[in-house]
Amino acid sequence: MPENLLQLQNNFQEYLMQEKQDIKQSIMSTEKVSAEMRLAIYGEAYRSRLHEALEASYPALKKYLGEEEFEKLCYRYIDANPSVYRSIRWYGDQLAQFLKDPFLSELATLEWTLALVFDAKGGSVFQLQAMSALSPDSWADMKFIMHSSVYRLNFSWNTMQIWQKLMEEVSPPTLKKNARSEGWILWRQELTSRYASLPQDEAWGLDALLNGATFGELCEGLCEWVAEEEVALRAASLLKGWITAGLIVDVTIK
Amino acid sequence: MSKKPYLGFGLGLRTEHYDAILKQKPAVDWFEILTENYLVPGGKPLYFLDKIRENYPLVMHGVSMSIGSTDPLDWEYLKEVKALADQIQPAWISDHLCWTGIHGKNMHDLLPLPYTEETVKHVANRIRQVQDFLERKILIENVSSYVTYHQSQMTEWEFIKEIIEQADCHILLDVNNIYVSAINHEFNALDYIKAIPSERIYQIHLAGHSNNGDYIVDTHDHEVVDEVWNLYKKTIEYHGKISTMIERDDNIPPLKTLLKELNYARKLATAAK
Ligand SMILES: [Fe+2]
Repeated sequence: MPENLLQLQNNFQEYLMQEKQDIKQSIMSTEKVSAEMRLAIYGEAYRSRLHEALEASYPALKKYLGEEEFEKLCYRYIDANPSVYRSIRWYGDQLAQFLKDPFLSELATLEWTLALVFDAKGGSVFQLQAMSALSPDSWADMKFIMHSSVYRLNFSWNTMQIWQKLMEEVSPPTLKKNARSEGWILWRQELTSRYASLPQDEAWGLDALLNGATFGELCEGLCEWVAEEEVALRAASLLKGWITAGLIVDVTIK
Repeated sequence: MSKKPYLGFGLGLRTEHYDAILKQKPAVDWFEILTENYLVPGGKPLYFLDKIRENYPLVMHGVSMSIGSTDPLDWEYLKEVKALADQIQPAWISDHLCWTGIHGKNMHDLLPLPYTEETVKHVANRIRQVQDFLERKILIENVSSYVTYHQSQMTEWEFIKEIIEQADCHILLDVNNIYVSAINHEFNALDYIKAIPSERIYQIHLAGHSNNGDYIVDTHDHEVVDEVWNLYKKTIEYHGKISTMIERDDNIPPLKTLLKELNYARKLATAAK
């Protein structure tokens, strides 16, 4: 191990992250530019680069809080969460957990999830016509491979409505708590990111599929919302909608 | 040593220009991509990358190999780099002669190394390991710097020359970075440029910077300045023709404007021969 190099890098990094001054003795000053000024170029660049990364991932949160408050939040986050990622694109993944305010945390979760949807693996999806190849006897045993871009979120606040307005650069509605948690789905079709609000039974059904449920299990579960004689119809219609929306990559028989 | 490939005049590939590149098929000989931007599972960046690759040669330029760090090499990262290279078949892969963090942290900056024998040995050894793993020679780029360490025992050009020789790798010579460092550390940029063996220089970077009076910060947000054009011309006169590209990372103008700047580089290089 190159001991001198390790010591130097350790001191330099502690300067960037915690403003510790040990590195100063290793840096030459010139007549024009002192060691402090030289180090400060790196110190400022460190914080501003991470701040920029958070701005890129959380544009609506920034608009909601305002430039100044957002910057304060970023600096607190940067101090508490140094980057452990090779690509700066992943920096900021803990912001929702870091925010104590439940609405702000939801807004952060939404924005981070949108970025995940944007970057998710693409590829071909299951086509409705392919259903005809499956014998109706085996329908109950069908399992589904979901598209990697599919994310399910539940909101306790009117977070989605606020986010939409913020992104349209118009003033957002007043913050208000939902009577009961509101289910949404976010996904990508080809290169277009999409999102939709879900009725309760559909939200439950998608969660079930994402957890590996069969079509039979889906029908059983839907009985909580739908009369037994209508459940098969409801399940089939949901499935058709999901396939058409490109949420399903493949159907297998258990 | 095998004859070095020559790609001509390229630009850094930026998301802002994806559509224009596909529609206009501009007269750019090749594009340099920022490796990390494409280490994602899918989506728009990879879609456009594949499309652009159909029409242009690419080279891969990384910012987080952290070849000078005292942390172990990040094999997971290198695996991803290799997989991307298998997919897009770049003419070459480059990263910077710097360190970006230790103890598993990433400062997301190209931090300078002390120019010591200890560092030379350490870095050259790591470059060799990376080259063995990637099954190709890599290019390392000189970074701009704002500090000089007391422990440095040699000039930056002696340092870089020793490393490329011990590691048997190639160099991406950033002429703007040399200019920036020459002002910040008060050395003669031409001494640096002339010290680098011609056959090792596979690529040149040109870029703009911000001048703060007493020192210069390498910001890639301006046009290339006259002093850097001048150094570039002298570099080509001295070393012969070298694949050249312009980097612009901030304050990104329309593609048209960058094409004009690139044509200027073409003109200078042609006149220099
Ligand atoms: Fe460069």
